[in-house]
Amino acid sequence: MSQSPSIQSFVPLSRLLATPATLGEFPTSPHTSFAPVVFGDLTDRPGAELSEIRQFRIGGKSYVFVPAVTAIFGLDELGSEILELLRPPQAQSASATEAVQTPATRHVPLAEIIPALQPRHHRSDIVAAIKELRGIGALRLVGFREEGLNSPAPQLPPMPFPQRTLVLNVANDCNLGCSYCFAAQGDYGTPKRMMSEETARRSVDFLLSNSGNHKTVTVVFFGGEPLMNLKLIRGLVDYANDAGAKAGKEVEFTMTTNATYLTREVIDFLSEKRIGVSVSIDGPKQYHDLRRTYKSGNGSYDFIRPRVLDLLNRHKTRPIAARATLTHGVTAVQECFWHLKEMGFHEVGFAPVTSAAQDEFALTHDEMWQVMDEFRQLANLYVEKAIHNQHLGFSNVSNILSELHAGVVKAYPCGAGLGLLGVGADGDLYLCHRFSESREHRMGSVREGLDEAKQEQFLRQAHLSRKSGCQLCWVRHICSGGCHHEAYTRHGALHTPNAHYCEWIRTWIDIGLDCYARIMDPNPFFFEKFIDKRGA
Amino acid sequence: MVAAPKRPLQRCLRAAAMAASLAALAFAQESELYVLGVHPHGIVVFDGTRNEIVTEIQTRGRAPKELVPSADGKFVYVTSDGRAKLEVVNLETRAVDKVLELAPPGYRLTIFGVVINRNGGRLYVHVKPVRELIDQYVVDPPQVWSVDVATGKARKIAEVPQGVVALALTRDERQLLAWGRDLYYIDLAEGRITDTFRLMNPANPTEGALNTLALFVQYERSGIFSIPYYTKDPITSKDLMGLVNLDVNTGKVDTVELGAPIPLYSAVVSPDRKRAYAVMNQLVAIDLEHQRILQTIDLDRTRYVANISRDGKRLFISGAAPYIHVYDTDTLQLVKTIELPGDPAVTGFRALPPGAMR
Amino acid sequence: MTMKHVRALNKKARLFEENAEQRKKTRDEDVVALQAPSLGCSLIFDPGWETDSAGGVTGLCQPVEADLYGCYDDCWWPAQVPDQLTNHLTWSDSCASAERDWRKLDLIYPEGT
Repeated sequence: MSQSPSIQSFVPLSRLLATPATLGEFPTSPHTSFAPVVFGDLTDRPGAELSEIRQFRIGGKSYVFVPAVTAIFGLDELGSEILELLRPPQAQSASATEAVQTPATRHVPLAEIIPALQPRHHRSDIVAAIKELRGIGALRLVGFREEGLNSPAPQLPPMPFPQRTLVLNVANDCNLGCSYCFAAQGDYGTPKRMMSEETARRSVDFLLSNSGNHKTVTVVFFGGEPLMNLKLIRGLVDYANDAGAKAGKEVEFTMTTNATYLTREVIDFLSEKRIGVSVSIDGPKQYHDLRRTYKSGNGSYDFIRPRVLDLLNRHKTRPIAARATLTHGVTAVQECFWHLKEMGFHEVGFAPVTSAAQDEFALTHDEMWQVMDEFRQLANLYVEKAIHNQHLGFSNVSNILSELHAGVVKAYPCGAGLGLLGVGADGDLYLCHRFSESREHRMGSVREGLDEAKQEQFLRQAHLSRKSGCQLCWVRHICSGGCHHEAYTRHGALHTPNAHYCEWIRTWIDIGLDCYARIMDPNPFFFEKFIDKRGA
Repeated sequence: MVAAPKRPLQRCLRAAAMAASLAALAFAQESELYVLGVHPHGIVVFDGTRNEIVTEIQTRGRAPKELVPSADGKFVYVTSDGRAKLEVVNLETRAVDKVLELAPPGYRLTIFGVVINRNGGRLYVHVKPVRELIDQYVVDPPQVWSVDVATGKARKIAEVPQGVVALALTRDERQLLAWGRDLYYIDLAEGRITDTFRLMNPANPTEGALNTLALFVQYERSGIFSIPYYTKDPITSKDLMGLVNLDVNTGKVDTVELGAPIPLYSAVVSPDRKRAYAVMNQLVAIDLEHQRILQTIDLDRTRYVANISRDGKRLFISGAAPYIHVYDTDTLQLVKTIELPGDPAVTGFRALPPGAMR
Repeated sequence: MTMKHVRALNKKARLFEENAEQRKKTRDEDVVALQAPSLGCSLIFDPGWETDSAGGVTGLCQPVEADLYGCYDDCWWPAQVPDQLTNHLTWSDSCASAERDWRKLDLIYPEGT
C-alpha cells in the first residue's frame, strides 16, 4: 500500500515499524519446477534517487541521518559518494536550519552511477553499497514499484495509556515573586491554598492504579513553592512508599524548589527519603537577582546560596540539578554554567523563558542566537570530555543525545496528557503542571478519574500529523512541534507548532547530531554509561 | 398381508414375531448424529440417518471452529472467537452452559487442538499465547495445557514446537499426540515430549519431507486419524502424495503412498479400516489394503471435511459452502444435498456418540 | 554485521541491521522450505497461494466465495479483507453464507470518509 510521502505519523518507540522495502522481494513462485527468482544484479533497474536524508561530514567521516525513523548511520567513502552523486548539482548540502533537506531530487540511471564510480571501486562493491543504502531508506530505486519507508496512518497510542508521572501542585502559593513565573508568582491566578493530605493520597492512589505495567512511577513535588507544604510531603512520601510496595511498584520522588526553605532538617529529610531535587537558580548573583526576586523586588541569591551549598554538601542520595532560565539580559550561558558547576551541581540545564513576545523578560531574536552560540561552545566541551569518558553535566546536550541515541519518533512533543499529568491543589487533573488550575485544560480529577473523552480529544488534536507546518521538516520526529504550553503562551493556541523556534531547534538538533557522531565513533561506551540510564 | 392365525399359539407367535420386528425396526431407526459449526455463530446437529438438520445451537462467540464431543454425548466443546474461547455446549438443553476463559490476564490465546478424556472431566488444549503489552506483542512458546472441566482451571503440561494444529489422546490416556510439522508424543505423566514421528523433518536425507496439515479431525468411526501428505521424492524429484494414518488408540503411524498428487484437505477412514475417502475439489476413494486410489470424481465445489456412517455405506462431506452432501460409498453417487444455515468454514464434522440427544 | 558500506550508530539504526539479518535468514529458509510441493494449504501456517501448483486457479478452493470464511478467519488468506483480529470483528456477521448472502457483507471505510 503506497502512502503519500509527505504524511508522517506516529510510530511506537519500542519496535521498528518502518520496514524499508527490501531488494528483490517478489514472492518466490510456489512452482516446484521453477527455481526461486533471484535478483542479484541491479542493472535492469532504471535508476536511483535520494530519499529524505540529512548528510553530514565530520573530519573525514561521512554520516547520514534518516528523519523518517530517526536512524543514524556512518558511511564509508563509497556510500558517501553514491549519495553525493544523487544530489542535484545546485543543491549542495542544505543548511541545518532548512526544514527540507532534500528539496530537489534527481533520478540518476544506474547505468550512469556505476561507471562514474568504477575506476575507484569494484562493481560488486558499488552494487552492494547501493543495496545497503536502499535498505536503510537513504535512496529509492525508481521505475520499480517501491514504497520507501512505510509510515503507518496516524493513530492514537494504545489506550488506556499507563500513567508514569504525576506532578503535584502541593502548594498553590510561593514566597518569591519571580517576574517570569508561568504560575503567576505561585498561585496560577487562583486563591492561594495548600493541597490537603487526603488529595495527595488520592493522587498517589490514582497514579498507582493507573500505571499499567510500569514497575516504577514518579511523583513530582511542585507548586508554587512545594516546601511551603513540607508537612504534606513528609506524610505523603511514607504513604506512597507503602502503597507502592503493596502494589508491587517503586515510587520515585523529585522536587523543584526555589531553595529558600532548605534548612538542614529539610535537607536531611530529602536525602534520607531519596528525593531528587531540581533547584531553580539562574546563575551568579547579578543574573539571578535580575528576575528571581521576593515580591518586594529584592533578589534571593544571597539567601539561597548558603542553603544550596549545604544541600549539595549533605544530600548525596540522588543527583541534584540546577535549572536556569534564560531571559532578556540573562544570556551568558557559559558564565552561569561554570558558576553553578563550581557551586557543586552535578547537572545544569538551561531553558529559554516561555513568554509572550511582548513580555519584558522575553529574549530577543539576537539574544536567542547568542544563546545558541554559547550552547554550541559548551557542547564542544561536552564532546571532548565525553570522548574521555567524562560527563560535563550540561543537561541540554545529554537530553538531545538521549533522544538521538534511542532514535525516538515522537507523535507528541512530550508525555503531557499521556503518561504525565499535573494535579492541581484540589485534586483536579491537568495536561501538565504548567496548566495547573487552568479550567480549560482540566482532564478530570484524582477522585473521579481521568476524563478519557477529553484526553482522546486532546491526543487527536495534538498529534504531529495535524501540524501541517511540520510535515516536511527534518526534525519533526524529535521536536514534534514543541511544548504545548510554549505554543499556548506565545501563539495563544495549544496545537500550533512553535514556529518562532523552528530554525533555532533545527540548529540545536544538528549540533546534537554532530556531537552524537563525534562521541559515538571514538567512544560508544559513553552512551551506555551516562545516557542509557536516563530513559528517553 | 398376514394370514389369519389358525390357532391361538400361532397367534401368539405371530404377535411375538411382529413385536420383535418392530423392535428391530426401532433399533435400525436410531439416528446417527453429527455436529459441525456454521458461520456466524452456530452449531448444527445433523441427523445422518434421516439426512436432515435436527437443530442449530447458537454459540456465544463467532466463527466456531473445533468441535469435540464428550464420550457420553452430553456436551460438545467448541472453540470460537478466533479460537480464543472454549465454549461448553449442552446438547440436552441445546444451549451454551458456560465459556471457559483460559487466557490469563494480559494474554490472548489461540487454541489449535482440543481433546477430552473419556470420563469427560479433563480437556487437553494446545494454545499459542501472546502477551499484549502496551506497545508490543510478546509471543510465548506454544504449549499444551490440561484443563479441569469443572473448575476451568488450566495447568501447563509441556511446550511444543510451532506448527501444532491437532491433538489426540491414546486409549490408555497416557499419551497425548500433538500433530504439527511432525507428530509429537507427549507423556502425560512425565510432562514432556518423549517421542517424535518425523514428517516434515525426516532424519534420513533420502526420505522426503512429508507435508501435512492435520486441521481436520474426523476419526470417530475408525479410530484412524488420516491426513493427506505431499512430498517430493528426493531421488527422482517427482511430486507425490499419500496418507498419514495415525491409529489414535495405540499411537501407531502408517504411511500409505498413493502416487501423483491430487490436492486434498482431509480424509476419513471407513469403520472397517479398509477404505479411506478424501476431499477437496475432488472426492477420492482409496483402497487402504492395496494402497491405491480406486476412484476419483470431480466435485462441483470445494469441500474440507468428511465423515462416514457407522455401516460405512454413506459418506457425508461438508465445509466451505453451506451444504452437506451425502454420497453412496460404493458408487460415489450423490444421494442427497442438505442446505445449511451458514458457511461451515474450517470446522470439524464430528460424529456424536450413540445416546446423544436421545 | 551484514552491511559493509553502512554502519549503524544509534539504536534505531541497529534495528535496521537486525531486521536485515532476519530478512536474509528468512529468505534463505524460505528457499529450502519450498522444495516440497505446496498444494492447497499444506504448508502449515503459510498465508495461502495465489495460484495452484500448475500456475492456474483450478486447484484452488472453488468457488472463491465458499472459501472466504475458511481462509480469512484463521488468517490464511493474504486477501484484502477487513482486519478481523483487532478492529473489525463483526464485519461479516450479517452474511451467514458468503456465496448466498454476499450482498450483506459490511463495507469498511477509512475514518473520516
